Amino acid sequence: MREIMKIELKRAFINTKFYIVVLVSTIFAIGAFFTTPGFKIAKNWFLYMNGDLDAAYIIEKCDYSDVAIEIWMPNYGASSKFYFLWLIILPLLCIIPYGITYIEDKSSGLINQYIIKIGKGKYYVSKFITLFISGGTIAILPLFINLIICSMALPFGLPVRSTQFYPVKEYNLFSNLYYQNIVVYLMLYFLIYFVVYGLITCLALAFVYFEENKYMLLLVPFIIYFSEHVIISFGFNQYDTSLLLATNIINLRYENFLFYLLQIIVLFLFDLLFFFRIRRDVI
Amino acid sequence: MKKVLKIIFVIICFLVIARIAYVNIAYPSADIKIIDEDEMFDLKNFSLRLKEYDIYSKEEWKQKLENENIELEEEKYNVIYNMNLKNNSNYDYIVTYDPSNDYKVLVVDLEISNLTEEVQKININGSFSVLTSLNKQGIKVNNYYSSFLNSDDYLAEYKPKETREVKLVYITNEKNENFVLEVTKLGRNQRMTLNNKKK
Repeated sequence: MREIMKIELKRAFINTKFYIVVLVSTIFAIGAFFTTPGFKIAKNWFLYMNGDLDAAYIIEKCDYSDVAIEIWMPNYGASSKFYFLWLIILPLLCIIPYGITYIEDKSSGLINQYIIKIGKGKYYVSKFITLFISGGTIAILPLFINLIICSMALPFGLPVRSTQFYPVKEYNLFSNLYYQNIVVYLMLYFLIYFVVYGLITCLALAFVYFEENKYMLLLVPFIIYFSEHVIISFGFNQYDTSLLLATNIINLRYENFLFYLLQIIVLFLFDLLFFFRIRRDVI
Repeated sequence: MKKVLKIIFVIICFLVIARIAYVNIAYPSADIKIIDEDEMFDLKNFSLRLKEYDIYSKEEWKQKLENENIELEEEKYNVIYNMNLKNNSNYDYIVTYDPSNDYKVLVVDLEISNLTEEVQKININGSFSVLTSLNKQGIKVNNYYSSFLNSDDYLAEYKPKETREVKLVYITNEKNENFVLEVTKLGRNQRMTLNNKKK
């Protein structure tokens, strides 16, 4: 199992498509930094530290130490064009490097060699786990890059609620953690993104049950993800609770948490369809 | 080619780490200093020392006001709780607690000193916050009761090196465990948690 995982992870992470996705993600992360009001704050601090009098006047008038997390791209939500556009196309980015390798293995006959060598079960499990890891990693990459960029502009520190500069209110998920232990909050934030987008990417495997065209499979997670957002937002009038918006848990309210969790459970169960499909695979 | 890319990647990583380290060392500190009840808050031009504080239940507060011949705010004025504002325009002013519900009153006795040689004014709501929880908005000073507890205008300007004792009243409907006093100033973030007992 370890051997096949090593091979599959190499296939997922060491390929041109993955490098292109990393480049695109980096562009989104940099774009989000430069196009939000956070950039003005960062620029003002830069000028202040270099002795600019106007910047000094503003900083001393505000009389508050801004921190990196204050200008992190998820804080701006849909008002940041780069962030929102990235959020919309994220399932596409997640699936590009590795998402259709199962179908490619099948059509090239490579699957037979794998299965003869390591067995059916191990092959399918490794496929599922690798796609999950690949999708999750691509999803958290721009968030992490943007956080690094913000940390290069402002010092790292705890958010302070009384300043009113932060979007997390007492009714938002893990709000206590946000104001008391931002590092743990961030780890949790990344973990949720990783799991949710890992599961969304695995939809491509589950859908081989219905569709074997690799180009269609590339689009499947995106179509389901976006349709789910439209249905939940406009159909059920739960605008902030679709996977597209609520995975940015900065906006997720405690009252909507169960509904959000239910969506993840349904997603997971749907992903498991892949393991039913493989019983029918004729090698 | 691969080797060159690797070297470029390592150089970028090094520069990024160096920049992050510089920002965290050179920029004014964003850390929050936790201070004890007997320590002073440093507000650059002012120092602020907590002399004592009292926490009253609604009943205790009513009793205290009765003893001091002070009328209840909601009896003297037609006040409205800011959450009940909708479709209601008949009120004298807005308050941030619901007088009809149970509430807690925190009275803080502060010693405020102007540390400069100039006349200074302090914006008490802007410089100093009282919180019931770190994820909740601060409570504003209740000006009605605060004006009764202070002999002179507690918001007036401070003469050079003047020290004044000020009593501030904060009212909340929250059933919190601990009040938190917080100062958020450039490079001077400080936080004090009260243990809810008389100092």
